[in-house]
Formats: sequence, C-alpha cells, structure tokens
Amino acid sequence: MATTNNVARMAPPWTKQLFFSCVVVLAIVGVVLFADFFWRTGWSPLHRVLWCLYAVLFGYIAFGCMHAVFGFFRLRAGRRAWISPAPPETPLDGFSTAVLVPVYNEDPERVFSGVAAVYESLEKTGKGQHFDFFILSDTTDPDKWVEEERTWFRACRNLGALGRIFYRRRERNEGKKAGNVASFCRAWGKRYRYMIVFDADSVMSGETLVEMVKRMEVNPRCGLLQTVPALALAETLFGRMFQFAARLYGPVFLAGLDYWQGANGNYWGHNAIIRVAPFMEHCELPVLPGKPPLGGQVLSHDFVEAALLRRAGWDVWLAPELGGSYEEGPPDLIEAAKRDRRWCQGNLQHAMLLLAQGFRGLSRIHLANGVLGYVASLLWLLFMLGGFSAVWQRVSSELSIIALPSRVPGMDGVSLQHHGIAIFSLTMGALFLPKILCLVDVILDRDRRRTYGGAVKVALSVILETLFSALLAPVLMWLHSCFVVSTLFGKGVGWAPQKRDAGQGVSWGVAFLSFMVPMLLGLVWSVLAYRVEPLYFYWVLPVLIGLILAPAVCVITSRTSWGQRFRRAGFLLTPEETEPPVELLALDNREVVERTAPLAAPGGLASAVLDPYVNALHVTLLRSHKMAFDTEKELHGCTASHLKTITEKLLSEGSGVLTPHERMLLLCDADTMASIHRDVWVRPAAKLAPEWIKAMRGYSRHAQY
Amino acid sequence: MASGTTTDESDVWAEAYERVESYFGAMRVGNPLVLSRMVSRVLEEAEKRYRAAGGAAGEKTPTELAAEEVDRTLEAWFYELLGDDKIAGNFEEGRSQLPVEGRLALSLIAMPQRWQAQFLDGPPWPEELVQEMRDAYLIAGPEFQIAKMERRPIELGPVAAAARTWSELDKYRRVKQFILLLLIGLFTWGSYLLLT
Repeated sequence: MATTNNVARMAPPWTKQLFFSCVVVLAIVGVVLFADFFWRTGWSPLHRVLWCLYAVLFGYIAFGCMHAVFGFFRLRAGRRAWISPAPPETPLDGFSTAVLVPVYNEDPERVFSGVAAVYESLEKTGKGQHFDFFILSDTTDPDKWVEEERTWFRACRNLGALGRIFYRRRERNEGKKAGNVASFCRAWGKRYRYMIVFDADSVMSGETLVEMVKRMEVNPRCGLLQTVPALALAETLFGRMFQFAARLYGPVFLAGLDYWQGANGNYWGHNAIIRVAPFMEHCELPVLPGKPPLGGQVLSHDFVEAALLRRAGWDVWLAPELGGSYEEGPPDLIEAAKRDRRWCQGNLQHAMLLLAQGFRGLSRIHLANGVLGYVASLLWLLFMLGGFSAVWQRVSSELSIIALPSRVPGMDGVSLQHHGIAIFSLTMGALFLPKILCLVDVILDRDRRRTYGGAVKVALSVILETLFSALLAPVLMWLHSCFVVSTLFGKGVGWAPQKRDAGQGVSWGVAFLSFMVPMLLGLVWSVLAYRVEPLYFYWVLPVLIGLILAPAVCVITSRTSWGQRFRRAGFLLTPEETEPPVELLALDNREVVERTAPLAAPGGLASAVLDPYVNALHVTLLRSHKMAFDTEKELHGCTASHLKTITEKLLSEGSGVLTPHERMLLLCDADTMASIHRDVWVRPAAKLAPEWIKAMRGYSRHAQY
Repeated sequence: MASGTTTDESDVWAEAYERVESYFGAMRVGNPLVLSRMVSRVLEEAEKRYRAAGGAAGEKTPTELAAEEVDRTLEAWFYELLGDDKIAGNFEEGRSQLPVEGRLALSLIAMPQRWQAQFLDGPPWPEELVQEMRDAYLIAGPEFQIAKMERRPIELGPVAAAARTWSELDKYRRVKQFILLLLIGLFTWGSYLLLT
C-alpha cells in the first residue's frame, strides 16, 4: 500500500452539528408557525394529524434546503471538498484495478461503445496497462447473449484489447447486480486492489479513472470513493429537463452533502471506486428477515454496502468536484416511474436496517433519507387529502372562524389569512430557495454560465424546469404513493432492464392507460374542491393541473423532437451539450458507425448457428466456462435426446418455434452448437426451414464483420 | 463444373453452388477472384464424390456433398497450416476441435481483411500468417483466484425482529389475519374520528 500522506481532510465534528442545527431551526420555524395557526383556529384531531404530517414533511424540506444553503456558501467561499486531488506523481505500480461493467439484457452496441470510449480515453493517459475491464453479464435473453459475445469480440479486436477486456456470463443471476459483483470478487477479487464499478450506461474519462485510483492510494483508510455522474446524452424533453436539473442543481447540493457527511459518505451503486479487500471482507449483504418484497435479498445494495464499510471503520468519501463521470437518465416519465418502482422497493427495505447494530449514525441518516424519499410522497398525498377534509369539515359546519391572537413573537396582529400566506411562503421559499441559489451560483461563475448558454438562457431554463417540476410533482406524488402502498402490501417488482434510448416516445394510448387513475383523481378532486370552497380550489389548482395533465405531459415530454427544439433554441443546455467531452463524442460517433454498419447476418441465436465466426466464438467461450454451463443445463433438466429434438425443430421449423428456454438450452451446449453449425450448412434446402435459406442468401460478398 | 449434367441435376448443382458461395460469403471472402476459385475447387471435388457414389442414385445430394467438402477443405487447410505441434499445443483435444478453433483463429487474425488471397491456398504461406494463426488464442477472463466472501454477523435490530416475528406468524394464519383485521379496524375508526 502507498506510504504517501493522507490528503483527505477530516471534516470537523462541528460541521454536522452546525448543519443539522440549522435544519432543526428552520424546521422549528415552520412547525411552530403551523402549530400557531391551529392554536389560533382551534385544534381538532384532524389538525393534530395534519400538523404531524407537516412537521415530517417540512423537516424533510428543510433538510434539502440546507444542503443548498451550505453548498452555496461553501462553493462561493472557494472551499474544496474534503478529499483532495492526489499528487500527480502518485505511483500506480505493483497492483491492478478492475473496471466492472455489469450488464443485464442491455443493448450490446451501447454497452460496448461506452466501454470502447472509456478504454480509448484510458489508453491516452498512458496508464491503461494498470486496468482490466470486465463485462459481467447476467443476460438472460438468448439472442442478446450471442450479441454481447459478438460485440465484445469485435470491440476487443478493433481496440487490440484481447486480454484486457474480459467477458463473463453468469449462468444464474443470484443476487442481481450485487450478486454479480460479489461473484466477480470471489473469482478474481484477489487479483485486484481496487474495482471501479460501472453501470451499463456509465462512461468515465481515463483521467478520472486514474485520479480515482491515485486518491485511493494516498488515502489508505478510504474504502470507497464515489464520483458524481453527470446525466448526459438525453434527447427527449423529459430527459433533457432531468439532465439539466441534475447538472445545474447538483454541484451546490452535493457541496452541501459533502460538508456534513465527510468520511461518512454513501455509495450510489456505480461510477465509484472500491477497495476490494475490505469490500470482500465486510460487504457480503445480509439477507433480510421475512418474505420479499420487504424481506429476502437486499435490492438497493449500494447504501447498505457503504454502511457496512463504515461499520468496519473504512472511510466512504464523495468526490463532488471530480468531473469526467457520466451516465444516462430515463427518457420519459414511464421509464422514470419503472426505475422509481424498483428503487422504491429497495429503499423501503432499508427501513429494516435503520436500527442495525454497529451502523454509524450518519449511515442511518442516509438510509432514512432513502426511505423518506418515497414515503414523503405518500405523506404529501395524505396531507393534501387531510387538508381537503379539514376545509370540507369547516365549510359544512357553517361556523365562522374566530381567530385567537398569535402566540408567536412578531406575529401579533397578523390576520389569519396573512398567517396562512406566511406558512405557504415559508414552505415555498424552502422549496425554491435552492433553485435560486444554484442559479445564482452559475450566473456568478463566468465559465460555468457560458456552458449553460449564458445568464438569460440559464435563468429562463430554470423557470421552464421549475414549471415542469411543478407539473410533474403531483403525478410523481401519486406514483410514489402507489409504489409505497403496493410494496407494503407485498407486491414486489421483477428485474427488468432499463430502457435508455428515446425510441418513438410514449403513445397517447399508453399514456392514458398509465395515468388514467391520477387524471380521474384530479378531475374528481377539482369538482369536489370547487363545490366545497372555490378559494381552496384555486390554492390547490397547481396540484390538480399536474394530475389532470399527466398523460399529456408524459406524451409531449417523451418526444425527441421537443427536446431538440428546446436545444436548438438554447434552453436546458448542459456543459456536456455545449462542450461535449471527448469520451461522449467518441461514444456517439461509435454508436452511429456500429448501428449503420451493414448487417452481415441475422443476429442472436441464428447468427450463432449460421455464422462461422460467431459460432466459433460462442463455442469457444462455452468451452472455457464448461463447468458453469454444465450446471446450467443440469438446472434446466436437459438431456442429450432433448437437445437432439430441439435441434431438429430449430433446423426444420425455424428458430421462431423454440421457446426462450429451448433457445437457452441449445446455446448452453458447446457440442450441440458446434455440430448444429455443420448440420445447417450441410442439409439440403428441402429439409431446412425457409428462414435458414433466406439467411444464407443474406451473406453478401461484401459482408462486414 | 458438372459439364454434361441434366436439367434436374443442374438445378441441384445450382443449389450446391449457392450454398458454397454463401458459406464463403459468411466467412467474409469478398474478393470475387478468390471466391470463384474456392467455389469451383470445392464443387469439382464434390462432383467427383457425387459421380463416385453413383450420381443421382447416391445417398447424398450435391448440396450435402459440397457442404461436406467445404468442411473437409477447411479442416485440411487448418491441419496443414497449423501442424501437429499446434494441434497438440494451444488447440485443445486435437483435430476434433480444429474447425471451431481454426475459424476463431481466422477471425482473430482478421483473415477477411488481411489474408484473403492466402486463405485455403497451398504452401508456402507467409511466415507472418502461420505465426499469427499459431499464436491466435482467446482470453475470455484471467485465471481464477477463488476467494470467499462470507457474510458477517449483523444484528438487524427491532424493525427486522418485528418483521421476522411477523413472517414466523405464517404458521398461525388465523392469528395473523386477526391482527391484520384489528389494524384495519383501528385505522378505519381513527379516520372516522378524524373526519367527523
């Protein structure tokens, strides 16, 4: 291990005390004002419930707001993050770092274009020899499996990276992504001092990878260093809004987060470097008691792994200022909702771990923050419905309100109406102050301001994004509430690959079906609210509009055309759009080239059968993992005669008649795959399904490989 | 090829021709000269076998014979080029694996782009081609260094204990149902009190 001095400054204990004191003070102001309102109008049981809900919700808002306040002043004061850049001369000799890319039924072209962009960037640093890449496939789609192999091989050959970029497919994807990484650790973990974990869509610059390793080297107590992946490559309006918000508001919030968490940081599952030995020693995930969805395997493994590392005394740092780290976001509201559904279940599981012995206090705060991130939506919905009930009760009682004097100093003589406005303003202020601070921070920085399109454009973009968030917030509140309730009632979620490309956008039919319930809720709520109290109706109109317009918002924001229109007009720009980093440019160009290259043959299983090279590659890889695939065949209860029957079906009737399970069985058997290639070419046309004849004819003389 | 064949025979030979051409196409042999040389060589051999087996009265069609001939030609070429030492060395389990490993080696050395003119040609071959073919091997992953990741004991605390107890109550379904009903009743009663 390196003997250089530790360059991470330990955050003084008073930083978190100061931060949380400010949160509590702000929360108390709101909570007391709200309580005072009820003191003046009279407490009812419903008011008590409303006050409790508000206390939790406003406390959560205050927590978020203070991140921005502390972050803003920290950045303006020019303070650097706790963990600093490593000395450039830090050596990387004598150990290796593994870059892990777990994939699960992803688009292989996109995955390998990203890997190639990172690999090339790393080679340019001259330190590439210290890194090995591992594509850790958990893919269950037989066609994608073959495509992954083919694309891996092509990438390796084109980059001259055979022996540097490795491919491994797991026969059983136990433990999902966390299990995939753990399986790597068991097989190869001892060879590497560090591992850098990617998501399937992660892109990082070579400079950043090298810097991460150096920082780990000079901070021997650091178990994990998390970078901040910037969202990039969005094309739809939804994706660009999301990307803009994360990019603009992120630095200020994260400076605030880094301020209080110090070495008690968190892990976000990817774009982070991990010290392998302590990870292997301490981070095997516990199995939660009870049945899924709340019990069983931990789904959102990252927070728990960070807490386990902290429990064992290892530091977990955030590197908020370290650039060159990118990922993609969901292209539309439905994809975002699907992702949130998974995250919601994972985060709710963390409630089980909140009181686990040995966890640090700040780790518990990270876990609780994750839980509250989703539960808060349900609380907001209950608060809104409770507020409506309170108004209804008051109107139906036909009693006029006689307001008592305020008990809060400075509020003497303030009318009840103004008191309500004060509470509303405080809440909205705490919600919107962070956006204003982030905007000011960008405007005050000439270089950053330019990358967002200039002061006017960035200010208008913030207004646009705020309106969009206001429209989106009610439907997210509804969706998250549904997710929380369904999870609590035992409805789990499967493991589906994330869709990252924009595609054709969401159709009106799909949008109406997906958001019919919130839309109807909004309509019914509007009618009732207007009938009960028109003034109340106007107060909650922004929420109601968001619910009613959910399908339209979903459709319009899913369109690439709208995203590009705003981009051409200079709105919602991010630094990655105005000054694209070479890695993202390389990724974009590579994807265009690979996707427009003429296809030599059908893909998937058909190519593994017909194509002499793809077949040879697949068979060779199967033989190199013989044990694993023998286990897989055993698991599927496969016999030689069964394989023979499937083979005959495939050749004489075509691949369409095989079930995915049968396709998988064929693909798992090296000998069958080797002989099937010979059989398909030797058979006369009369004994072959028409698709094979057509595919054979498809091999042109100028086929690309 | 197949001079003096009947119309029916010429149809089946056309199918055989197409099959052989497609296979070499699948091997990305794009040079028309090289391609036609290979196709005619294979078909000539196939025709000899066809005649020897009794022509149309034989068991195998020209397509089958031609495709087998492609296979034989490839295997023989790999064997000749790589030699016994190679087959006993990097190439596993001798000749039975040869077609697969040979095709992979061709892919690794980028035969279609670099060695098309020499492909299936007789010796002497360029030293570089021989060396590259012999060196070609595929690494899917480094050597395993098996290690264990053992779960450390962790006391999950009261929330998890409650969840464990709740799940253990599965054995007493009536009790569980009663508790659930009680909770729903309490919630309904509380809501009623709040709203009235």
